Amino acid sequence: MFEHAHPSLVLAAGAALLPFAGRAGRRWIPAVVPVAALIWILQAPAGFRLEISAIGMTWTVAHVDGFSRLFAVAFAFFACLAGIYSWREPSATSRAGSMLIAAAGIGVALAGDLLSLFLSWELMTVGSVVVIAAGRARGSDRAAFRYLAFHLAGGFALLAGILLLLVERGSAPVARIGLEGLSGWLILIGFCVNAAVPPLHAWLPDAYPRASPFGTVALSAFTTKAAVYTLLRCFPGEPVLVWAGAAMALYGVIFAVLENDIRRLLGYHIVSQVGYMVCGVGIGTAAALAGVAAHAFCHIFYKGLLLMAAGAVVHAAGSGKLTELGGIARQLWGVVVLYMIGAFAISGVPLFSGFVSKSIIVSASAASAPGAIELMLVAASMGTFLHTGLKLPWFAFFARPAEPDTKAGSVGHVPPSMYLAMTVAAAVCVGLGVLPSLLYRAIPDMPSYEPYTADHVVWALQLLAGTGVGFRLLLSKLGGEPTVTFDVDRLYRRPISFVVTALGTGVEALHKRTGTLGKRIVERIARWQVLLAGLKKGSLAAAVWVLLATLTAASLLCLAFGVHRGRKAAGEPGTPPPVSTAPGSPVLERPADRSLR
Amino acid sequence: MKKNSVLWIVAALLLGLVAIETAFVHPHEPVAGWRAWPGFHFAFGLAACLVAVWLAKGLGRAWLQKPEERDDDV
Repeated sequence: MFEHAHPSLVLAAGAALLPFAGRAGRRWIPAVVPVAALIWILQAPAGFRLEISAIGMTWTVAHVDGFSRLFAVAFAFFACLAGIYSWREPSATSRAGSMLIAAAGIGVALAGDLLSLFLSWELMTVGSVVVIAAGRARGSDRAAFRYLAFHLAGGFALLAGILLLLVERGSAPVARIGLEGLSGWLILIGFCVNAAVPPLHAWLPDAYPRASPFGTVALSAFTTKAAVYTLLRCFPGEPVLVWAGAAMALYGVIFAVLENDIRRLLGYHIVSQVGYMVCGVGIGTAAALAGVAAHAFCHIFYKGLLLMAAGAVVHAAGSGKLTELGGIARQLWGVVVLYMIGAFAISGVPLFSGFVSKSIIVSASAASAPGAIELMLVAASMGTFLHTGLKLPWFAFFARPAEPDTKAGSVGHVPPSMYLAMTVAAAVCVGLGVLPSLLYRAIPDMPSYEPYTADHVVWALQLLAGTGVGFRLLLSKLGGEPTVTFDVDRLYRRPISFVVTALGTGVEALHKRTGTLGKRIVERIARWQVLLAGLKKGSLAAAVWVLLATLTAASLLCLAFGVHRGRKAAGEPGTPPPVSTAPGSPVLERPADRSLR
Repeated sequence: MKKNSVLWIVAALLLGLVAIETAFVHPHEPVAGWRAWPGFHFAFGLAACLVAVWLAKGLGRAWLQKPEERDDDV
């Protein structure tokens, strides 16, 4: 069974079938197919490898061990919840895109070599672009294009790094790389784009709120967590990540103060929470890496729950702006209860999942990182409770509407499918918080850790109480304002637009001025003007063309490399053979074993 | 009146927490010394909250926040 299928392939096949399926099929496929993938992942024996040979290389498309299984299980389980949540999603394109993202996320988690990982990485970009563009909100197309441009740049850095690594070392397994050479830095930049490490993060709050309420849920779970997984595998114990992660945790908190859009606010908190994980990877001890895996697992479900609840508000009230909401708790009391479970989980309230995972990273930072890091992480924890546990629910659900023509009087119906998905996610948040051993048992080489000690609990409650008092004192300043927040994306939006315009104008001018002989050539080039014009407008079709061209270029690069390598191996008997990928070989060493500290 | 009673309850809860911490709570793993001070986390949470909001609002007023009409989507 395992040798003849790959869970990503199953999901991708489901995504391909969706546009041709009937109404029932479109509803059932996204909810049921991930279950098949989940069964595959749970049943695959430890150490199982699935390898294929192509273009002169052996591709390890699946390798099952403790960490890869943990992440893949979370991805498949959440894909199932996202499928249930999007039962009423009208766009088959968005559903297919969501399934593609899930397929790619699982592909990244299971990949045994970096080239296989790269293919899944780019598939994730394709799926995300489709989901964002299918959002049909104002500016969705352009946000999808910016997402594509940013991730293609990151993908190129990643591919260049992988090829360089192959040249340097002869193999590129998903194992510790380090930052000793240029290849390591290029790969790290590629990973950091998807992990939304500032200043490479602006795509996240820009794009996620532009997808449909259903699409945002699918987007939230996979891209950043897949990047955390790759950082955990390839860069454990890199000091630069300690500071980057701690700064990231605070960056999201500061920007969340200014946000008026609830999904954008939650987007900044993805940046903040992933900051904890990046910091934990940088600390690199076995305890810190176990904390990263635990926190990523919990984060997938509590952040998914929060965005599901936010999506339910947008679906029912028709707006996600704090200035247009307020006073809708009575109409949406079920959503409020479920949202608060997610908010307590992300804030690290005892008996909820975030408490049992986040505290591992903070404890690891206390043991092995500079004191300032521990303080920064504790401060970020305060900010998380301030925004997701107090500000957002107060102003969206309970406070009197700020404007007279708000949505309180016209709240629509929330479908049972949304409630079902949110309830299961909430059950995971509470279940893991009450019984953390369920999670700890699944983490390979989990060191002995007891979250429910008097000091952990009392300190967490004190922090929450202090934040609560601060919120009360600042209540009048924390309400939503009808503003937009400028982030670093403003630095590259206009230059990109300028370059695309200049290219179009240049081709047009050349076309007018060249003689008869040149015209033929230039006419051919001028055809690209249509594409450039499309890019300028943020056309999805143009974006897809660029993506296909990029993937073709990437494939040709890989092919050229494979041919070159094959010739080298055949012509030079002294050339060292590639590193063995046979079962039992140390290709996929666990990062905890090789942590730098 | 109702507001005052809520404040009294919050204050009593906080004092209770600090009392419990002073009497019973001892760090069972290595932490920075100041984290073990009674009431540190409450004071830190409050102070960090005030600083974060003050800082963010200041940055927002100076550079980051623009009217919604300025959302020039290029």
